[in-house]
Amino acid sequence: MGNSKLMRMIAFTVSVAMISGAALGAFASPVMAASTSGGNSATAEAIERLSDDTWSEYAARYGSYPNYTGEPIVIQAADADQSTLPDGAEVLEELDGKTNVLYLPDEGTVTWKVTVPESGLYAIDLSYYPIESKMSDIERTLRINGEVPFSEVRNLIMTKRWAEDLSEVTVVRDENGNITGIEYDKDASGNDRRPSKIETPEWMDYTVSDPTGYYNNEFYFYLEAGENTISLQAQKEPMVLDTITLRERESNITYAEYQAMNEAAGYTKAEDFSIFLEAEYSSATSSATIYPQNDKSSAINSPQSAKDSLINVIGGNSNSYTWSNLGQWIEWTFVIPEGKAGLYTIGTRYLQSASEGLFVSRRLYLDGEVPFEEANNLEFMYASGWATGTLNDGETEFEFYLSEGEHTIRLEVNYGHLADLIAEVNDCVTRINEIYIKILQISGSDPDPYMDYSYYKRIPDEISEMGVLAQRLYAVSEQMQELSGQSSSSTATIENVARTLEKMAKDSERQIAKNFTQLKSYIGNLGTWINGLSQQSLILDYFVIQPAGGEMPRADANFFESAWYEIQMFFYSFFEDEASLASAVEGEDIVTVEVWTTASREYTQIIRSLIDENFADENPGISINLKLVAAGTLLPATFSGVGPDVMMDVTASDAMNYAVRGATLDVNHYEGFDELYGYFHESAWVPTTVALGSPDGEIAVYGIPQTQNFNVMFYRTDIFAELGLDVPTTWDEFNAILPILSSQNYLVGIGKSTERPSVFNTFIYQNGGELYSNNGTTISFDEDVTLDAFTRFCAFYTTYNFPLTYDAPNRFRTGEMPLFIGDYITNYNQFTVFAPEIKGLWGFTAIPGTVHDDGTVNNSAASTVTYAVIMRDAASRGTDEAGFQFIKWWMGSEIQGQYANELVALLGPAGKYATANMDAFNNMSWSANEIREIENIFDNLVGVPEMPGSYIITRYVEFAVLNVYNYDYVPSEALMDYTQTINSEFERKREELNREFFIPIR
Amino acid sequence: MSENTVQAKQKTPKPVARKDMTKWQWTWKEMKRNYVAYLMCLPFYLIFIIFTVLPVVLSMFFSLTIFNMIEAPQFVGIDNYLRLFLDDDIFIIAVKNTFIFAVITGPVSYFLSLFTAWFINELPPKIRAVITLIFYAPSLSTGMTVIWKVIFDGDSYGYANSILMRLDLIQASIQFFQNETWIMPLCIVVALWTSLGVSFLSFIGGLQTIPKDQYEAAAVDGIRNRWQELWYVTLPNMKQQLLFGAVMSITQSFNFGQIVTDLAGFPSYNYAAHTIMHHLQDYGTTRFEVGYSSAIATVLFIIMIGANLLVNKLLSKVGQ
Repeated sequence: MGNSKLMRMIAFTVSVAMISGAALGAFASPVMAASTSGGNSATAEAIERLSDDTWSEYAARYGSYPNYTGEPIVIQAADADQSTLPDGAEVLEELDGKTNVLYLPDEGTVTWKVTVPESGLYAIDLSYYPIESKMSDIERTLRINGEVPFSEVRNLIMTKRWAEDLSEVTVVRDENGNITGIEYDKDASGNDRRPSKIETPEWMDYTVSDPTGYYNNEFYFYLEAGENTISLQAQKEPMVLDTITLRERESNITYAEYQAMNEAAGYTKAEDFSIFLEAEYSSATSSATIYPQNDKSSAINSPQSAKDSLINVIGGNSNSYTWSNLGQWIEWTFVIPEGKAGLYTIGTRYLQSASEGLFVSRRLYLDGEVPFEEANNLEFMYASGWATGTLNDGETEFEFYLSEGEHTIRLEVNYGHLADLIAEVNDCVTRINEIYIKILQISGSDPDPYMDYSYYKRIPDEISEMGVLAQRLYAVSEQMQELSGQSSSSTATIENVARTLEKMAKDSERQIAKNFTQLKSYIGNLGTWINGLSQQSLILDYFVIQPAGGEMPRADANFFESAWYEIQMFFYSFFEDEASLASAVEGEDIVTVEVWTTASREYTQIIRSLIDENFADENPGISINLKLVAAGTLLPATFSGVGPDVMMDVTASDAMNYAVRGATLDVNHYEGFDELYGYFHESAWVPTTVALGSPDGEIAVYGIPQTQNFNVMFYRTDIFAELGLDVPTTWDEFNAILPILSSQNYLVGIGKSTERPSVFNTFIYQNGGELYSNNGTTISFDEDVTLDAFTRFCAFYTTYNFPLTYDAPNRFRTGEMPLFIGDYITNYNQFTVFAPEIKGLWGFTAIPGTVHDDGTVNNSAASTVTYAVIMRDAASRGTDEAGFQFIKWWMGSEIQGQYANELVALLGPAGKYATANMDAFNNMSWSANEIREIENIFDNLVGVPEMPGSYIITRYVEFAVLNVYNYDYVPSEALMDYTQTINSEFERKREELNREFFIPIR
Repeated sequence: MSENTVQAKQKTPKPVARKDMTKWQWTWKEMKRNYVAYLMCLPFYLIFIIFTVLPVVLSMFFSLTIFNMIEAPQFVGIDNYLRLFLDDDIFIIAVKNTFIFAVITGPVSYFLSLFTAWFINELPPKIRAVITLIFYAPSLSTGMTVIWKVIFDGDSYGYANSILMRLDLIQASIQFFQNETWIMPLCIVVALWTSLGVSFLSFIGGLQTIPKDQYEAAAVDGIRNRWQELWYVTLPNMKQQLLFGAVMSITQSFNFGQIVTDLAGFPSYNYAAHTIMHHLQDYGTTRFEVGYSSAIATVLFIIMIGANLLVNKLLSKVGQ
C-alpha cells in the first residue's frame, strides 16, 4: 500500500517536471531578431562576401554558354578610365623593356572599359611586373561590370619573384653554362652562410585562376557582347600592369597528344648527356622565405658533411611552411648544349615524409608553360626517408622534349588530384556550419535530450540536407581510399562526421540533442583535416636530367654509410657548440655584447641568422653573443654580476622593477634615440618613461619596446549577418545588441582574468580618466571617473550575466560566443590555424568606444608592451653603446619586418608576431580590411604607466571584481575599499627606493 | 722519587679517562681516532652545510635587512619582524590559513597514509603492488593537480559545473576557485589526495619488515583483536617509519603552496587560501623584498621545528 503511494508520488513529480519543462521550452522559443539601423563597412563587406556565388555555382550557371572564339582582345593598362584612377597611380613611360605601363598603388580600384564582339566565355590574362615593395604577394579583387562574379576572385594572388643574392659568392659553371657549384660564405666554424634574398622582378604573366587551389584550370567569365568594364581593386601591394587580355579558353593537350606530337616531329631519345643540378641552386622563388637550407637527415645528401652545416637542400618538411603553401614556386634553369636536344626525363631526389600515406602535388611549368594536362598533377609519394624518382603523375613517368639552349622548370605547389576532395569537404564544412548555427539558435549549445524542439517542423530543409551531406562525405572517403590505397585516420575522420550527420538526419528529435556536442568537435576535426592536407611539404636535394630510361642514383645511404656518418656526427658534437648561438667574430677593437632572450629556440635561431646576415656587415665593430635563457635567470645573474648587457623580452613591470632599483640604464641619451623613438607608437613608451625627482624632473626611459599587444573585439560575421546586426562601435550600440544575442542563446565575453586588467584600463581611459593620480604616487580608485568606469565594467558581469571564465577560442569557433573581447595576436593566430572551418566567417575590430556628453567618442584601448633593456653592468663593461646600437638595429622596420616574415615562414600562419614597430606591423601579411582596423586601433592605443608597486593593482582589481560578482558588493565601494591598501603599498615602495619616480607631465 | 714516578708513568701510561678531559678535548680525540669515518661523511656534510645550513643562516641574516637582490642589503635590525607581527594583516590571514591547512591535512594525511598502508598490506602481493601504485601515483607528479582544475573549472563547461547545471542544482556556473566558500575546502581535498606520498610508501615498507613470529607470540600472550595487535606489535615495530612519516607530513602540510597556486592562482582571491609560503613568495619575488621574505621564512622555520618536536613527543607514547 505504502509502496504504491510512493510510486504515485514519483509519477506525479515526474509529470509536473515534464509539464513545466515543456512550458519553459515554449517560452524559450526564439524571438525574431530586430535589425538595427546604421552601417559599418567591416560588416557590410563581410555580408556582401557571404552573399557571393561560389565558382562552382557560377560554373554551373554559365558553363554551357558558348566559348568565345577569335583573336585575343588586348587592353592596354594605361588606357584605364582616368576618372577611376586612385591617388598614386601613374603611367610609367618605360619599365624593364615595356613602354607606357600603369603603376597601381596598394589601394583603390581601377576600371577599364572593353568592348567584346560576341557574348560568351572568356579567360583573362594579366601581364604584370611585381615592383619592389613589401614581402607579401600581390592581391587584387576582380570585378566585372562592377560586380564580383564569384567569391574566389575577391582575392586573386599574384606572386613576386625572389632570388638569392649571388653577387658576392663564386658560382662555378661547367662549359655548357650549368651551375655545378656555389662557394657560399663560411662562418668561423666552417658552416655555410645563407646568401640573402633579393627581389628580382621581371615581367610575368598571370592567368586568372583559383587562388584557393580547388579548381585546377583557368577561370572563365561570361561577358555580353558590347561594352563591359573590368576593374581591379587593390587588397595588398602595388603592381605595374602592362596589358589585360581577354581570350579564348584554352585547354591543355594530354600527355598522349604531347607524345604523339613529339613523335610526329621526329624527336628521339637524347643520348650521352645528363645534367646533375643541385636543387638548392634555384634561379628564382615566389617568396623570400623559400631559401636553400642545410639538412643532415641523410649521409648522402649532396653535398654533405658530418662536421659543418652545408647548404644542400631546398624546401621544407612538415615542421616548416616553406614551399608548402598553395601557389609558392621554385624555378631552376639549365642549359642543353648543342647537338644534345631530345627526349629527357627529369629525375629528382626528394624527401616527402609529411603527408603520411599520401602524395604531395606540384604543378610543372617547363619554359613558362604547363606542357600537358598531366603536368598539373605531379605526385611525390610519401616515404619515411629519402626517395628518388622521375617526375610523374602517379601513373606515368614523363618524358620531355628539350631543345638546345636554356630551359627553366618551375614547380608550383598545388593540390593536384586532391583538389576536388578538399574542395568538396570544404564546401561540406561550410554547409554543416550553417546548419549547426541554425540548430544552435533553436536549442542552445547544450540541448536537453528530453525536450521536444520540433526540428522537423522548424528546419525541415536543413534536416534533409544533413542526409545529403553525409552521403557526400562518404563519397569523399571512398575516393580518398582509392587514391591512397588504404583507409587511414583521415578517412576515419570524415566517416565519423558522415555517420553522425546520417543519424541526426534520420531521427532528428532524439539524435540531434544527443550528438550535438559531438558534431561541434567534428566540424573542428574536418577543418583540421583540410588544413593538414593543404600543407604540401617537400624537400628536394637535386635533379638529374637525363635521357629517358636512365637509372636514378641511390635514394638513401646504406647501413655502413649511415653508421659511419652518425658516428662522425656524434664525435663532432663534442667540438661544435651548437647550443650557444654565439657570433663568431672576435678580436681586438671588437665590442662583444651579450644579449639574452627568453624566446623559444626557433625564434632565437632566426634572430641569430638575421644578426649574421645583416648586423655583422653594418656594424663590423660589434659582435653579438646571443643566448637563450630560461625566464627567471636574469635576477640571480644580475645579482652575481654575470648578467647580460642587453636583456630582451622583459615585461613592462619587470623592466620598471629593475629600473627603479638601478639595475638598468636610461636609454634616453644614446645617439639615435630620437630616430628610434619614432619607430613606435607613443603609447609603447609610456610604461617605461618616468620623471626623476619631481614630476617635471629629468625624463628617463628604461626600456625599448619590442612587442605591443592590445585587446580587440572579435565577431562572427556569419552570425551577425544572419541576425541582421551591425558590429557595435560604441558601448551604447554594444549594449543594444546584447538582448538580441542572448535571446538567441548566444554568449558574449568581455575578458577573462588575464585580460580583465587591460579591459578595465580601457574603460578608465575611455572615460577620460587615468589609472594613477598625483603624478603616479597614488591610485585613482577614489575618483569618480575611475569608479564610474568600474561600475560600467562590472555591469557586464552582474546585469548582463557575462561569464567570468570561458574558453573563448572554442566557444567562438562553435558560434556559441559570436562576440568577445580578447587579446589580439593570440586569438588571431589561434583562429587562423586551429579554426579553419570558420575561415572568412570572422573579423575583428576596435573595442567599442565611449560616447561622451559632448558627442565625441573615445576609442582608447590599453596596450601591454614588452621591452628590451640595457643592464647596468653594460656601462661598466663599456658595451652599453653597442648594446643600444643592437637594439636600434633589431627594432628597425626592415629587420622587424624580416623577422615577422621568417616567423610566418617557419611557424606558418600561426607565427604572426606583435612587433611594436608600427611599420613592420603594418607590413605583415594582413588583408586590406585587417590593416584598416589595425591602423584605426593603433591610433587610439594608450599606454598605462608602471610605477613602483604597480604589481599590486591588478590583484586588487580582480578581488574587487570578484567581490562584486560573488557578494553583490556595490562596484564603486568594492573598488574604493582598496584605495588605501594600494596607496600604502606605493608609499612603502617610495620609502624603500633611493630615488623618486613620477609620471612625467606631458 | 719524582724521577721514579715519572719513569713509572712512562712505562705504563695511564689510560686516558673521559673525566680527565673537557668535552671538546674528548670529542677531538675521538674524531682523530675515527678520522676515516669523518672523511667518509665529509662530502655529504660539505654539501649539506653549503646548500642547507648556510642558506638558512644567510636567510636569518637577511631577515634583519632590507634587501632587493639587486642593491646591497641595508641593516635594519628587527624592523622586519616588528612589521610582520604588528603591521601586516595579510600575514595574520596567512598564519591562520597555514594552521588550518596543517592541522587538517597533517594528521588526516598521516592517518590516511597509515591506515591505507595497513589495509593494503593485507592484500595478496601482486594486487598490493598495483593498488600501491594507484594510491601513490597522485603524488608522483605535482602537475596532476591540473585535472582538478579542469573538473572544478569556473567555465560552465567545467565538469563539476556542467553536471550540477545539468541536474538543475545550480543556475549559473560556480567560480570554485574564485569564491571564498570553496577555495579552502577544495584545496584541502586536493592536498589530501596528493598527500599519500613518501610516508605512505615507508609505512608499507615498514609493515612488511615486521616478523610473523611476533604476531604469533603476541597471540599466545593473549592479544584479543586487531586493534591490540596494531597498537602493541605493529606500531612499536614501525616507530622509525612513523617518525619519518610524521616529519614528512608536517613539512608537507606547511608547504602546500604550490597546489594552491596551481588551483586558485597567485594570490588567491581575497587571500582565501594565502599561506605563509605564499606570503613569502609574494614578498620574495613579486615585491622584491627579500629581507622581509626572509623574516617570514625564519618564522616558518621556527614553527616547523616546534611542530616536529611536538610530534616527536607524541610518537614516543606509541605502544605504551
